[in-house]
Amino acid sequence: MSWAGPDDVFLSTSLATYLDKKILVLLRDGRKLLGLLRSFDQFANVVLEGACERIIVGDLYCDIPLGLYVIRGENVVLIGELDSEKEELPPHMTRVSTAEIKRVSVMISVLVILQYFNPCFLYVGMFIVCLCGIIVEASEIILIVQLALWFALR
Amino acid sequence: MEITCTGSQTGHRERTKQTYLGSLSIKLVTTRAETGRQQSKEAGTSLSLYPTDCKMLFFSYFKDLVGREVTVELKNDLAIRGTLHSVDQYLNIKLENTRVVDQDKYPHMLSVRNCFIRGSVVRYVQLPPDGVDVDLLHDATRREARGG
Repeated sequence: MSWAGPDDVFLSTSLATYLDKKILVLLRDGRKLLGLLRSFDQFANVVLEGACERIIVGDLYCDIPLGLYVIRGENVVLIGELDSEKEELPPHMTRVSTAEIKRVSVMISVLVILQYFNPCFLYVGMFIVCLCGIIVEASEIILIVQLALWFALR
Repeated sequence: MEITCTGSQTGHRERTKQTYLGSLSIKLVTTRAETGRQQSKEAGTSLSLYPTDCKMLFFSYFKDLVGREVTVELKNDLAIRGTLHSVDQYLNIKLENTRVVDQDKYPHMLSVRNCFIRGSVVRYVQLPPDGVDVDLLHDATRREARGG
């Protein structure tokens, strides 16, 4: 029971064992929120302190800071305790800025739409995206190639 | 068995079809009646199902599985394997030593060792092969169905 007494709290399904620990909350829409668990109830409504949303696109990720969040229980899929000793993400993943991840996700959706119409368009799309990459910022070409490779090998 | 044809002009072919259909439906009804009698005889009383009791059956069933290795598949297709730590009345599940079945697809789950899964998002729970004593569960189900 969620309202179990303090003696058997470690044996129960209560979230009390995760209190004041860094947790990952997976939401029904696929979002991933990270933060310190400060409070919860029997519906799995949770309060996260220092919450941030983690967006992962291919091998790139970014954390958007959100602050203090109350999450309504019905949106919660899973609450995971993050192991502080383990790496949060695989070492090959690189952290990028919010603007960058947004741009990359737009590019991905363009590629997906192009591929939907015709698989041949994928290469055309990649070319366009690469071109856009050069125009936007020359240094991003590595990023774009990495992204294109990830998409092609997916 | 009497089969009455609605139209007086019905041909032989049509009549056979109707006869066949009629006997089939009657046969079905008989079977159902027999099954009903059989069930009520076995149960001793009339069938009464209480949703809460049904749920508690699965709750107690899952409680017996605590400490076993299970795979929980969620409605978002994420499948997590781990040791069942605890279950509550909503069938929320807590797993220990978790690993995601398709790790490459869900890199954010890499550092999650223990997790709490909300009961409402669970699609399947895959049990260990010897995790179910069919006879015991069968008896328990009948007891639950009787409402006692």
